[in-house]
Amino acid sequence: MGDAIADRLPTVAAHGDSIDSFEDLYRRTSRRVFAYIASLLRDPSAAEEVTAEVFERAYRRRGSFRARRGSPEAWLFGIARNAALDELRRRRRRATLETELDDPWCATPEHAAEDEERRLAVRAGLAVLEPREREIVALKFAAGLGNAEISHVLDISGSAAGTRLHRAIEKLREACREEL
Amino acid sequence: MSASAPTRRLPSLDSALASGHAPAVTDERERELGALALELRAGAPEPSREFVAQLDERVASHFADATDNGASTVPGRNRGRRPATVGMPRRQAAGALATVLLALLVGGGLLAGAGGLGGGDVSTTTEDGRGSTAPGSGAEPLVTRPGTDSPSTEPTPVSPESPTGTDGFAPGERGRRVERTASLTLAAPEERLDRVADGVVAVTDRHRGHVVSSSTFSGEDQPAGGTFDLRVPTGELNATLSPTSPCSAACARRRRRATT
Repeated sequence: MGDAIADRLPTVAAHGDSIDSFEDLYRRTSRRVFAYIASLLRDPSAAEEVTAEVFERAYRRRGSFRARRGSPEAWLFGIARNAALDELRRRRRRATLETELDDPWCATPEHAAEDEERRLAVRAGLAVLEPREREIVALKFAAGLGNAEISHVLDISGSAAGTRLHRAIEKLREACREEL
Repeated sequence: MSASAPTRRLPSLDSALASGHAPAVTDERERELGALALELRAGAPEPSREFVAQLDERVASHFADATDNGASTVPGRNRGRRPATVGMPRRQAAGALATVLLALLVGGGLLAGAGGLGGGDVSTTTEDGRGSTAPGSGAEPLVTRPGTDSPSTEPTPVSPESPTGTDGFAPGERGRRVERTASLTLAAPEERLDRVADGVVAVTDRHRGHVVSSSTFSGEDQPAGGTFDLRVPTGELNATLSPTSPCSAACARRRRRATT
């Protein structure tokens, strides 16, 4: 897998309707795909399974990529979104058998003590977001997608993506302020 | 908040993400947004090293362990799935409609609720299966594939499990139960596919059923659609398929009844 999330912003080059290198796409996106899926599922173990399924599915379908429908990353995250939503539906029907899962987002224990309070506030803030709000925040900050790619993944306009993201992040900011 | 605020502040988020530092601005809100963006990115979930190593290996081998029928080779990913539906030939539905194929197995004898999956124009054909109360051909249930005009004769998988725990195949005995299988094809605008899928789950829950398996696809290499295998109590079948659901318009449904 690739390096730190902050280094994974470039999109994969695509010539026409083909992806230059599936391995390159994988290296650039694998951690972000995992982060996005784990943010939606709140279950790292299930997220690993779904992430593997996403890349296997993408590999099989790599010939179906069409550049006019968006970047390879938008195409890949579209597959990831469907797989995650399928998993959420499966989990919903088993929900009564499961205990509440611990949100893996902002759960890293490496934070300095002075950051701990803020990290906990962000986690609490994430918990109050609606699923749709949480997803667009995940696409932006966990998946590292730009607004254009987010709009492709969610099949909404770029301006709608920007507005939805802004509202979600403002709601999260307000929630964090109440926690701090 | 002004209408232009959303687009005006997004660049400050992108700036913070690109630089790794909260923006040095006087606006407290923008500073907080920048810091929040960095916190969210830094706290993004990370996969385990073991998983990374395994997936790296599988990608390097071009998923050499992948199966031909499209079923996932990831451990545990095929539970409750129908590999036969993966890679089925499908034609683009007219008018950019997404299709959702539902296969239902019903059993038991519970009372019906309100609100079903159907809606709009529904054409129904009932095929009575063999049995003491339902004479007929005993043919396999017909299943309409998404994006096709004619039904397939491929049998719908029927679980031998009894939802009521009263297994029995002898006519006239107390443990006898009625099973019906039904398939339902829903059509909806592609952008509403998620809502339709959520509606299917909600209606199934409402009628005390459960989703055995589900799969949706967004049209990367085929028309958008999905498949759901549902199990609902016998008495809930009509209610579940009733044309009162807000989730979509039903194109067609076919049912088969068999008394066992």
